[in-house]
Amino acid sequence: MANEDVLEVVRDHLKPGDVAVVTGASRGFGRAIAKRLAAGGAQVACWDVLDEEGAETVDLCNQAGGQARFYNVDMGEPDQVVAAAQRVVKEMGVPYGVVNNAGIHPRAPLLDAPLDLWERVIRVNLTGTFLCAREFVKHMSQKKRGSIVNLGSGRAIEGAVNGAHYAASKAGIVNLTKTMAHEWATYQIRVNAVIPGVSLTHQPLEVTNIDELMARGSKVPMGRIGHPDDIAGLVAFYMGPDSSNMTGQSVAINGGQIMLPY
Amino acid sequence: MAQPADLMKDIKRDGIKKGDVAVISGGGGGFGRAVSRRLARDGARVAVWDWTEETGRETVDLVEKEGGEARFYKVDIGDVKMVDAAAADVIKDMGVPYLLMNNASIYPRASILEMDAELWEKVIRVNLSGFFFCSKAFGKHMVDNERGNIINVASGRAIQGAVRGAHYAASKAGVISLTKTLALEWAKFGVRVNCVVPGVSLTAQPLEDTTLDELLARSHRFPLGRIGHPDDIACMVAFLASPDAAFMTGQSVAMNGGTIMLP
Repeated sequence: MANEDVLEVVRDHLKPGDVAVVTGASRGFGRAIAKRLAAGGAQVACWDVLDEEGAETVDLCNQAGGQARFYNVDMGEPDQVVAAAQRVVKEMGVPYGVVNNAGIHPRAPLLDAPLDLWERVIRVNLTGTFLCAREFVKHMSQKKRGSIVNLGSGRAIEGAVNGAHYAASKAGIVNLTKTMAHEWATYQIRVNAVIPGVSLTHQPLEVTNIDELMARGSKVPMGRIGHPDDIAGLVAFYMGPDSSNMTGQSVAINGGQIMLPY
Repeated sequence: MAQPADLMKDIKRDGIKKGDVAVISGGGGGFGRAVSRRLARDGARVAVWDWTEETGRETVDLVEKEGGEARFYKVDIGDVKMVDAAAADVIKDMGVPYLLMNNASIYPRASILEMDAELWEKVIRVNLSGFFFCSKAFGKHMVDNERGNIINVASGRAIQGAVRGAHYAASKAGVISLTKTLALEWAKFGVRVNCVVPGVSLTAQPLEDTTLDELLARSHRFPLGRIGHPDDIACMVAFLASPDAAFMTGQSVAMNGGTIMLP
């Protein structure tokens, strides 16, 4: 057997009292992630444009055992992202965790999609992820610790009818995850992505009804569509000590709908 | 404000529980030992499978010293009769396992031109057919119980190929594919199947072909600054075995300090 003591292993993680930022925290995945991290004792900065539901997420986080604050931020407005990041650092401290979850998916076929729709989706989903992570890493790099989680999508792999902008932005996120992982590994900041499948959130309900959405579970090998808590479980792993030697990876949690590597 | 997520309240998220049985093939080696110790610490009862009796029994001793429960079984996983017999023994001695980790593998180095058919077939038989034999031997009981979890160990070589390791790399690529079909066929029976893709790690395997200093020096090529440690794989297995991964199946996940990034 090899003598395993010759290798120094450090397993840092999101500790009680550490700050975690969750974008798109008012609903769906973001709310479930915020609640889960709060339950582990984190202070959670909940970012969203939806004030009322954001306040509910904050209440749920506080009930779960963490401390949360709401920040109204439009991820498509670079000035707002930068200003909000600076406020979080000042009011709550330098975060350990950043979860880039906010995303929009307005439907339009390629031939009809106006240029400003394309640009808005790329700006919110992809540029927002880039700017948010970068603004925090300016501070996290000095602490030499942190975990960043980006939200990809099965659409990144398969494309999306009526959602070329969304699919391309998510493919960009899977790729961006890799370069962030390479550049920031030197600061012991890990960057990984989650690839959900169709889930019980508001997003698919913009274009389908609840019965049709639930019925899609029959196409999933595990027999149901995803639930936001499934995604929160993987994010908790990424924030935990068990994933400390993992970076640059995009992991699908989708009941077996798409299996990676593809 | 009502949320769509509130509509699904009856989700069962199964995972390994205290007292559950975990079978670890190659349990005497680096990854297998680290996983055996981790799962035993978390309360599992471990069946340590290995062809090498000495290292396998050492793992059992380590688990017992840490207050856990383990039993050794001498098995060549490339021999289907031996696999079926040992699986029957485990079920008789310990019960139907919740978890099977297909980990035992061989990696005798040879270039393609110097590799004879016999060596090729031996590696494919242990590393790929062996995973199939073990999965089938335990899977039928897991399917009957509607509860189970299989974790396969592949390799970065599956993605990149391997100079002097065509047989090994091809067998590991096969493991990634086998993971998908096992997952597809058994998902409806509550059996999840996933795969870990490690990078170069501090185990006996690379030391067959390099010195310890050379192996440690490879750390510079890893974004996070070090080669893998067997405990990293134990961490990944602990997650895949847990309720937090209950909606994951068919996936091959790399845990390697960022040396290969998937997909």
